[in-house]
Amino acid sequence: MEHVNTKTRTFFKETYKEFEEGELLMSSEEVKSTEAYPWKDIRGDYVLVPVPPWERRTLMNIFLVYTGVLSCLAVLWGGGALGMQGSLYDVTVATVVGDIILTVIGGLVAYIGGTAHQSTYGIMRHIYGWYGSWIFGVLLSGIPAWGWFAYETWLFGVMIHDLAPQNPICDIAWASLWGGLLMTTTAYVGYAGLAFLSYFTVPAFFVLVTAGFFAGIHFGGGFEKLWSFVPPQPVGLSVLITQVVGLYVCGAIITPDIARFARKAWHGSVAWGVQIMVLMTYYMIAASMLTMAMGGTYFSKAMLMAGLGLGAYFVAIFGQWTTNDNNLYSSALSWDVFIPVKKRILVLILGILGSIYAWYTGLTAGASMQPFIQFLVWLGTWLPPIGGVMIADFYVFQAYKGVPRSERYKMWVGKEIPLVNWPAWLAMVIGGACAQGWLMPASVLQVIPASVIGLVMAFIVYIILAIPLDKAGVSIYIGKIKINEYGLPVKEVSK
Amino acid sequence: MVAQEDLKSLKKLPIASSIIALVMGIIIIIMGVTAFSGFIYSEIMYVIVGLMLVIFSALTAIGVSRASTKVKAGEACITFGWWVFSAGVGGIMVYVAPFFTQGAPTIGVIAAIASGISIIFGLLIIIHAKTKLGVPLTV
Repeated sequence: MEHVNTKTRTFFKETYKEFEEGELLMSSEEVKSTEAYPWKDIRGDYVLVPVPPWERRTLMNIFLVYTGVLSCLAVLWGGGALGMQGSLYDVTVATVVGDIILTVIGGLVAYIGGTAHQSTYGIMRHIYGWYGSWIFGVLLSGIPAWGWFAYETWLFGVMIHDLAPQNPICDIAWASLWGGLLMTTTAYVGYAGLAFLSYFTVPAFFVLVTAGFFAGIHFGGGFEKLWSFVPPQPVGLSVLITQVVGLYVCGAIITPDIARFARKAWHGSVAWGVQIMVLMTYYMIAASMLTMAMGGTYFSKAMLMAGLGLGAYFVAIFGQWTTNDNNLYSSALSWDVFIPVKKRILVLILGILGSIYAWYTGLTAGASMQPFIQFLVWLGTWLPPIGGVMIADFYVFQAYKGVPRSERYKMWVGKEIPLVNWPAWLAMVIGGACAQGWLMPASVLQVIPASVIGLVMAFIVYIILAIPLDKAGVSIYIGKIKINEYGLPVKEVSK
Repeated sequence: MVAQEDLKSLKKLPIASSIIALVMGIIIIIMGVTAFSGFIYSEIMYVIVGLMLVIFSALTAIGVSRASTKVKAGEACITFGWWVFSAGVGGIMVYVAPFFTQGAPTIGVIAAIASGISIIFGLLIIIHAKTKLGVPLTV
C-alpha cells in the first residue's frame, strides 16, 4: 500500500496546479521528477525510499528541527561539565574549535542526505552494502539512539521529581514512564511531529534558558566571579575539545535523517552549521559560565530561585522532548531497514520498551544506568569512523569514478546494490581501533580528539584501499541485489 | 489561478497581526530599557524578547507582503508565525517571575500582557495560514 500523507499530497497538487497556471513554485526539473516518482513507501516516513519532492521542506524548517534536537538539557550539562575543567578563556576556545569540527563533519554528511534524499541507513546501503547498512545502522543509531532515549527519559523523571518532589505523579519512576510515552507520540507521527514540536519550542526554550542563565549568574555572585574562576578539575585544551566534539559527533553523522527532507542539497549543511556555530556555542558557554558562578549546572535551581517555576517545567519537559523524540525516530529508522514492520509500529515498540526500562530504573532503589552509559560512550568511540567512510565514498571515490555529484547514490527501480563493500568495513574497523588507542600512540590521542582520529583514519584507509583496488580491476563489492519499487531486494517484498 | 485581489485580501490579516506583534515588541524593549536601566539582568531579558518579537514579526510582514502566491504567503506565515508565538510564550513566563520585575510588578504585568497579545496574534497568523492559505502546520 502506498503511504503518502494525504493532506501534504493535496498541498502539493495545489502547488502543482498553480505551477501549471503560471505561478512558478518549483523548478521544471523538480516537477518532472515528481511525475516520475516510482516508489511505494510501505514502511512509512520514507524509510526505504527517497523522499518525494512534495514532502520536502524549507531551509527554515530543517534549521528548526535540528535546533529542536540541540535545544536540550544534555547540551547544557555538557557545557556545565566543561565549566568544571577549564577557565572561561579555555572553555570558549574549546567550544568554538569543537563546534567548527562538528560543523565540518555534520555539514559534509548532511549534504549527502540532501543530495540522495535518503536516510542515513538508506545511504549506507550504497556505501557499506546491503548487509553493512543493517550492521552499521544498528551500531550507529539502532542501539545508541534507543539507549539515549531510555537514559534521557529516566533523566526527565529525575528532573520532574526535583521540581515537585511531593507530587506522586512526579515520582522518578512514574514521571519516567509518562514522559517516555509523551515523547513517543511525536516520534510516532514521524518527521512532521518532530517539526511541529520544534516550531513550538525553540524560541521559548532559548528565552527561558537565557533567563535561567542570568538568574544563576546573579545568585552565584555576578559576572565578576567568572573572571577570577579557578577550575577545580583542570584539564588540557585538547581534552576539552574532545569533549565538545564527542558530545554531538554521533548527531553529526546521522544528519541525513533530517537533511533528506531538504529542498536543496545544501540546505541541510547550512542549517546544521548555523545551529551548531550559533546556538550550540551559546548554550555551551552559557552553561559553563553558570557552573562557574554556582558550582554546578543548576538551571532548574536558578530558575526556581528567580520565580521562574513554570519556565523550569517548560525547559524540563520540552527540552527533553524535542531531543528524545528524535532519538527514538532515528533508532526506529535504522531498525526498519531490515525489520519488516511499519515504522510507526516500530516507534511504538521501541518507545514503550525504553519507557519501561527508564521506569524500572527509577523504581529500583539504588539502580543506576552507569554501566549502560559507559557502553554507549564506548560505542561513541567506534561510531565516527562510519561517517569517515561515508564522506570518503561520496566526495572522493564517487568523484574518482566520474559520477556527477547530483547523481551519487541516486535510486531507481531495478538498481543493483552491493551486499558487502569490504574495504568500507575494513576502513571502519581500523578507524575505530585507532580511536580506541589500539593502533595509535597515546601521545597522539592526547592532542587530537579520539573521535576525529577515528573519522580521519577511516577516511584515509578507505581511499587507500578502494581507489588502487578499483584501478587494479579488483572489485571492492561482494554480491549484488536488485531493488524493487518498495526499496527492498527483488525477492524480499513484505507489505 | 489565484486572483491578485483575492491574494491581496488574504494577506491583510497576517500583515496586520504581525504589525501588532511588532508594536508589542517595541513596547517591551522601551519598558525594559527605561524601567530597568539599573538592573542589567532584567534589562537584557526585556530587550532580548522584545527584539525577537520585532524581528520575527517584521520577517512575517515582509515575507507575506512579498509573496506572489498563496503557498508562499502561507509558508512565511507558518515559519515566522510560530516564532512570534513561541517568543511570546517564553516572554510571558519570564515577566511574571519576581526576579525580572525587581520591585516593579506593574511593568512586569504590562510586559506579560504585551507578550500575551503577541501569542494571540502569532496564533492567528498560524491559523490563517492553515485555514485560508491552505498550508500544513509545518512547511
